[in-house]
Amino acid sequence: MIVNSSWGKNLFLVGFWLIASVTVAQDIAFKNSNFKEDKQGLRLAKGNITIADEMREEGIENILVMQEDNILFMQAIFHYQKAQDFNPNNAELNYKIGSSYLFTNQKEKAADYLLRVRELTSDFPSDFLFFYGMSLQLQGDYSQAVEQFEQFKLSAKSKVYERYQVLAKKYTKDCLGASEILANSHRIWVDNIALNTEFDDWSPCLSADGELLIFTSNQPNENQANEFGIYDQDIYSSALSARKFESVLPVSELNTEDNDVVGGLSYDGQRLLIFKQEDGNTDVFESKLNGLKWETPTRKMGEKLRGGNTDGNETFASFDPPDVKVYYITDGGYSGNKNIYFSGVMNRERNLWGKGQSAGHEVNTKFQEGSVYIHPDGKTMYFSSQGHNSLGGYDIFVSHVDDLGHWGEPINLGYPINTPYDDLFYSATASGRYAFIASNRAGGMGGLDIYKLTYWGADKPMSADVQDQLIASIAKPVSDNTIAKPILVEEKSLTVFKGKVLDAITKKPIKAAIEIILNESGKVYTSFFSNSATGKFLLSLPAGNNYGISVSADGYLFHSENFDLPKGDGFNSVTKDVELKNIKVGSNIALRNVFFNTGKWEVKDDSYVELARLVLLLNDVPSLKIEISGHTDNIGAESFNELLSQRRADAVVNYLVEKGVNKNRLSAKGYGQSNPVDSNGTAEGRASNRRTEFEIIEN
Amino acid sequence: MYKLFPLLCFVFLFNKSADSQTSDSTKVNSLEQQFGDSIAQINEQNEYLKASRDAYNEGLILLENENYSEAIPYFTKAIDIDSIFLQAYLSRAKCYEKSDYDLAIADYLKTFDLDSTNFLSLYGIASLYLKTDKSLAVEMYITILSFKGDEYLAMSQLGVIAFIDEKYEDAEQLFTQSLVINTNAYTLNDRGSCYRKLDKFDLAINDYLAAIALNTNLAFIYSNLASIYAKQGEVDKALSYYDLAITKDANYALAYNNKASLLLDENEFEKAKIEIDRSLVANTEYAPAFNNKGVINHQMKKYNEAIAAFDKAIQFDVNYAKAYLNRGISKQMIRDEDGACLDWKKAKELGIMMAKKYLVNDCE
Repeated sequence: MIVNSSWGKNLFLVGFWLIASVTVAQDIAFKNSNFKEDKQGLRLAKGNITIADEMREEGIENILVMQEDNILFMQAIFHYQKAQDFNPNNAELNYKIGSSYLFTNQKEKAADYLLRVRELTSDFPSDFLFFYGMSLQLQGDYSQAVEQFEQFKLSAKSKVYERYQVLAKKYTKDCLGASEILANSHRIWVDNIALNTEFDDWSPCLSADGELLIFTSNQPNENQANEFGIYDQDIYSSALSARKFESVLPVSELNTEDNDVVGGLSYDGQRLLIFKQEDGNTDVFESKLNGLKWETPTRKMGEKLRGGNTDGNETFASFDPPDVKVYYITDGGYSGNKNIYFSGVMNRERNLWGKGQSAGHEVNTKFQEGSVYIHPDGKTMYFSSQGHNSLGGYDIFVSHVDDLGHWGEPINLGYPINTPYDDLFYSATASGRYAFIASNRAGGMGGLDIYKLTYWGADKPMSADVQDQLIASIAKPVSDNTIAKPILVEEKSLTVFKGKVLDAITKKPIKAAIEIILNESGKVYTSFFSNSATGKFLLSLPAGNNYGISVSADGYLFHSENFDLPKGDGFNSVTKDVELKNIKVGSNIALRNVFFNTGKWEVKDDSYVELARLVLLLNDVPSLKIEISGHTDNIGAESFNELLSQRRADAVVNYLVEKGVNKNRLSAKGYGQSNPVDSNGTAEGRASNRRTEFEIIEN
Repeated sequence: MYKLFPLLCFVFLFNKSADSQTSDSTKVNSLEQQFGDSIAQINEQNEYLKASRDAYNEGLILLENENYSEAIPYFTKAIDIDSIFLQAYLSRAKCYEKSDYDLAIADYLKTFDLDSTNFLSLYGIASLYLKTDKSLAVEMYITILSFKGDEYLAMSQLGVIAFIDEKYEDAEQLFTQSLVINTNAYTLNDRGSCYRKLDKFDLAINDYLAAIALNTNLAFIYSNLASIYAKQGEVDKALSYYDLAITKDANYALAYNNKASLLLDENEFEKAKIEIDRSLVANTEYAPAFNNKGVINHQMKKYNEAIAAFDKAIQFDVNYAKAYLNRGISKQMIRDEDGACLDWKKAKELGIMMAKKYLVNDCE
């Protein structure tokens, strides 16, 4: 087609400009000239930007001094979004929104906005490269992220960006080290659990048996949302049902109009550590489960500003198995940023605790430590940190304590537990097979979500079958009976003992005092009560000790158990209900923590704690008369067993008399092997039959 | 038959001598009458014997076609006619072995009564006792040896019983004694298996090779030898002997299965799969092959196919403990935790202690 030359030229230029303006987006400034028809809207938008800018700048300031404030950034975004709705094509606004999202629990949203900036302009501010690098790191594009951080370092020479360089250096190091972390494949499933919502669901706290989960969420509740539509944090609980946590109940007796955040749960699920703000700072509080209700929380670790409590903020905390120390996160330490500290109890009745001590330079960094959890084995600490070798944001690490109490070099738990996003908290079952974390990784329900980790454990090898016709005359082939053994990975060395304390006659639950003694030293390992409403109890006993368990309640004979757990013993779970017998004639109790050497009748030293309990009972109930009886298994001559059991019973009586019990209240009888309580056909049965008992013969 | 021969000879000779005498052919004397009567009797007896033999032969055909219950009446008929028909007793005993041990033993004992040099009957009794009461089988073999001290078969069978009782050293000695008397491939194989159980692999290999040298057609010996090489890590040798076993018996499911297992250990999953499929063509209900098929699929991360194969293994052997253990592992990989736990519970009930560990760690 022949075009008239001048008209054609003009048409061509117009056409070219139109095409160009469509394919290259325009950066539209918030100027009157661009919004002549809606000056009011423009004014509102600019007003929101101004408000948001102040919040964002404050937030950035906090970030640069190693603090964090995702709430401030969310509030900034709230205002920016209004301006964005008015004009989505402003490069600077997209840059501000994108960079703000990077410091919230919705980090994955940053990428689209930052990409939009590149579409709208090529004139970026210097720190855009820094934020864009962060976004690329989140997407796992580590090499590209490093490039951006390097370009930022070269281009951002102004003093304003000096403090950015510390972070840029850290993030570059993280990116360069990511491949090493990712190279270690982990046999684990990570599942987003059913109770998550589009809001923040986080700080999961799991009982040691894995049956109770308590967590925090800012999902809609009874209170009023704030001006930004955000609800306060509340505490929720969920009970395991058909291997899932689905139904959720608010812990209403603990929830208030303010933020209520759970930090740690005792292994038996009977005590909860939360933190609350009072007079400008937060402290750790403890609430006890009384029946089915949580009691009013009381300050843990001493009075305000005493013991472990500082004028800073003590937040997420964890019990330790003997319940002697509390580990917690505080910014009230020397560094001023959030680190892991611990405080030890000095006098429990008077709530006197020692000054907080740092968990050590191996675990604490100049960056933020976010959470801490001590596993029921007492030797393993899981914590989250922005420092160390991280994939990005907070990562979860594990550290082991040595015999001197020093926490060792942390190990990144790796992918898929950790991601370039924030991965925090860790709460596990005693077996270590399941754990729960919180993360704001992409692909969740929204904000922080709780994830369940299922460890595959040791490789479970398949067992193939080979058959041979070994004997010519027998057609039936013979199988090779080898079962392939798994290559063991590190197992948790502890025994969980759980059950209910019940009245032996009525079977009703009893609130009983449970004391765990280290038989070798006679020291109390820990003590607590069974639940008054359910009778439930749970003990986590790390391997390496001989434990005596005593269960006692007023009006009942005490109950005795023994757990001898040598070092290196693997994980075991024992479920057993303890039935307490009334103090009435005919009741009898086996003294499981009274020991003798084989074939001998001298009472061993590690029996004294148990016998002291018996002395106490006899002193408390002066009308009691008891018969001490000795029993054996069926190994050896019957006559010898009878003699041995008599001598042993006599030895116990002599001990009680030495301790001041009137001998007229005591009698001794050896029954030999004549009164078994279990089968003598198994080792376990024979162990049960070898016992010393006492029976109430008068009251 | 041989007992009639002297009589017939007598008859013939008598006939001959009678011909040589001059007699009045018109008169029948008492001797002639006697003779005539005896001939008639013989003829009558011959008819009965023929009937007995005919019945026996009919029974034999049915026995050869494995129609045991139908064969019994024929042998019974043969015995009813000829109560000292040894072969009929023996054959009927073989039939009774399928239905009534006591009757089988009675027939075997009768056979021995008839001919105390015929140890087949005692072997027959012993093989029945082997299924019901090993101690009686031992007694029977010792009885045989008391009659004939060099009965190498009895010695080797005693060795077999010792092997079943896991007394491998005793078994080895008995097999050795048997071999001194009669060197044969079967006993060499059996002694080789003793050495294998005693972890004396070199001696085992020697015996298996010697057995093969004596009889090159016994597929199971090649397979046994291959398994030893496999245990010792000599993969190529093991594979070649499995192949030889298969050339001797193209339907030897065990050899295909064992070869597949070896290839599995070498992570040659595709090749292993081919051998397993061949095993299952040879024996469509071979549970170990289904188990191994499941293992192969699991290693290839085809967990659903693995589970289907384990299902089959269990279908053909409802107490197949290993298959339950393995199926549980595969089920866990498809996140069927409940199913995995149920399978491990069953495996534990069937005696696999590893399953208890999995239950404690993963299920409780």
